[in-house]
Amino acid sequence: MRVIVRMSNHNQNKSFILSSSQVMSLITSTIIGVGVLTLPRTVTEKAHQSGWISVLIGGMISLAITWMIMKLSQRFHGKNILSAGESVLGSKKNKWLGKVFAFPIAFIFMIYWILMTAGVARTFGEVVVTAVLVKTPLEVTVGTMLFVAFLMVTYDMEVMARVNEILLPIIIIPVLLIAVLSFQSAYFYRLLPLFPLDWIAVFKGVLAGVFGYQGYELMTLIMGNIQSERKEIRRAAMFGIAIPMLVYTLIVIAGTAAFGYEELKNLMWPTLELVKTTEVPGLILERIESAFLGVWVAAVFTTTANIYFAVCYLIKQLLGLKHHRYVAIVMLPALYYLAMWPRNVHLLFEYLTYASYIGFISSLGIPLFLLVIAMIRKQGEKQKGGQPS
Amino acid sequence: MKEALRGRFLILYLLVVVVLTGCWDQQEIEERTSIVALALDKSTRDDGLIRLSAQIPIPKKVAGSGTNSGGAGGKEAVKIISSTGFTVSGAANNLQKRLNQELFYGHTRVIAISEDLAKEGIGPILDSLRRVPQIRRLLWPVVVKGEALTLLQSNPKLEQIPILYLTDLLHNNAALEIIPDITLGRFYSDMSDSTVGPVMNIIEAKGDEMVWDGLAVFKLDKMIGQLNPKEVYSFLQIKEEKSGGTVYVPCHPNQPEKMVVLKPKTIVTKKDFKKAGDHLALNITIRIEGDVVETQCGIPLSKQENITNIERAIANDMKNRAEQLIKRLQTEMHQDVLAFATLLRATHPQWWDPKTWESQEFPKLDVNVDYRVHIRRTGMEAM
Repeated sequence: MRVIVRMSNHNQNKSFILSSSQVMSLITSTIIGVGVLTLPRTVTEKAHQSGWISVLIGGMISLAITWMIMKLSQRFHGKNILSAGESVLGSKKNKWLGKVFAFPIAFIFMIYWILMTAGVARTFGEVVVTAVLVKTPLEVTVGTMLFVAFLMVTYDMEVMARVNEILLPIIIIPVLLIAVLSFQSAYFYRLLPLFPLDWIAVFKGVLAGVFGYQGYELMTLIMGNIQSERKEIRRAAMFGIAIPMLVYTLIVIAGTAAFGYEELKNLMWPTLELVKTTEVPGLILERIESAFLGVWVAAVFTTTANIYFAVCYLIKQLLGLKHHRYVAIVMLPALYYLAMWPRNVHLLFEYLTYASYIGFISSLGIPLFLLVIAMIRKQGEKQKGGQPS
Repeated sequence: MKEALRGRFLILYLLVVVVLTGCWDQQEIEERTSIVALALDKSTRDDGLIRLSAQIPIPKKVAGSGTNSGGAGGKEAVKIISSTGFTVSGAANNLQKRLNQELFYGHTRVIAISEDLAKEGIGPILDSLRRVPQIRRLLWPVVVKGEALTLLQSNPKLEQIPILYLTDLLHNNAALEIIPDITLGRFYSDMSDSTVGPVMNIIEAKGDEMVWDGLAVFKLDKMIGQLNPKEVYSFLQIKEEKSGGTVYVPCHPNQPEKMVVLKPKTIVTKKDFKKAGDHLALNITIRIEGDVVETQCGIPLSKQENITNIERAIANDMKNRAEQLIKRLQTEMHQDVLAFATLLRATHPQWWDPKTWESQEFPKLDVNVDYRVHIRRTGMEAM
């Protein structure tokens, strides 16, 4: 830890460059979080047996957005959404103009990320309190999650990237394993009929499933720390979306085939129920849900901490502070208060849905808007000139 | 300066570690009362209450737990305790009042529901079970003939904890494809599914015996009828594509008392919907391969002709049984227990109307069952 601290202190002024595997793990582990527990229900509620198609389409939309952010990043090398926005919207003579215009952009992301951090921490607390630690107060589960996330946020981006890199296999392998193992109780007629596909329902399912993919907007922040002109970095970002896409599709197929969409409606945490009905062959672990939840804590932690980090970093940049650590300290009680705000779990889901709409629209709209303006104003073309895109 | 600061951080972390190890939910295993089976009855006083009974193992009496005083098996190893309430959780709460330790449902293996209660509707009961995270989806729900409490009191003496006898019976016979594998999770799914009539195993407690007695058929959450073990045989073959166990038929129509017994080994069921004009038809083709395990007829099985005759006789018998079952479901119960609608919705969604299926189309459905039996082996005997 001492080495890391020293290194990150050393790197403080120079911006740290993420490796391709770090980019991938940052995106993947931010996306996979609380959504994985509710996704089978939320998408099949709308899209019925075709829920997995909604998930695939949702993934493709996320891939498209990622591609767009990468394009933006290629134009504005070493700049994140805020600094890119400043140079797109500002003029060379009046630098403050860019700052003024870019402020709403940062503000939207800020609000959204704050809501998300609090919402994810609260959902985590709700799951733990309902399913595992029944007697533990919600305040404790939410508080500890936020506090652990806070501890990580006090460090620099490099630490965050490494934590994510280490935790990624711990998150992915068990979730994939569950998805595959639960096919033993699957009844595949429940996935039919495939056609005629009810496109309106599938589209509604996409909107419902958007929450599952939230987290890729982190890229708008880390795009300042990647070498997006390198092809493998761009590919890593795409992989970062493709992994959750695979995991989610498998989980939704498994959930639909095991329960049927009509039963999924009744399950608060369908993936957890799926885990409960899964038997590991050989009876090595009879109740794997405790193991699964243990792993899932890591998944939630990476989501919470990464988004928390993003908020603090953005605010630091906006206010021109020395280190985002100070923002994190101020933010912690606010986040906790916000997490405790929803009166019950159903309201929480409602708020999270709204928050994810903000996130979806802003992560789609803002990069697109900036990209279009940049194209019109022919900004950042020079960097692009030397690089085949 | 910086080193000192780091030292302070270290102390902070240590404090955090101390705080984080606290566990609100820690509970010693001997401080809880584990339930292995629940039984739900209507209150005997006819006051509309629910009576909840629980079978609780007594750890000291179960062999292998230190003091070797137990092990004789039998009633001493478990305690049965009942309580009433307006709702299931109310009854459980009243039960808790009479126990010294906290109730723990995580080990529940069987939920027994009395026939009377099942006929009134089990929706409210299942609702309370669904909300409790400790109740697992892999436990066995059963309908008990008469009082559900009798099942908990019954003691087949082969297991120390009597209800484990029932779970093994259900589990192993489900693996042998003789009894349908109906867990609570599956019952939930079938109940939510609009294309299938849910079923639940029926168990009768006769003194020290626990006897499986077919399937209870549910409509929504109410039990509306029963399939006897013979009908379940066809049910398993048509719906679950499981062999159903051995079958015996007369070798020859002239000698109805002389039987030949077939043990099916593999079964392939194919269902195919056809529409002729306005009329919907379902063709079921079931191919069974099996071994002859017993004959009383004294005819040489080495002759192909005899084998063909037996195959035909068995196929006819199975076909009759299946048709009787389907007829009964169509005319008497009006309940699509065999999940034809699941298939119809999956393969021909345009022909499936959720509103009229059960009342109009299903009773009129033209079902043709066709069995093809192949005898592959005749055991260790050459003839």
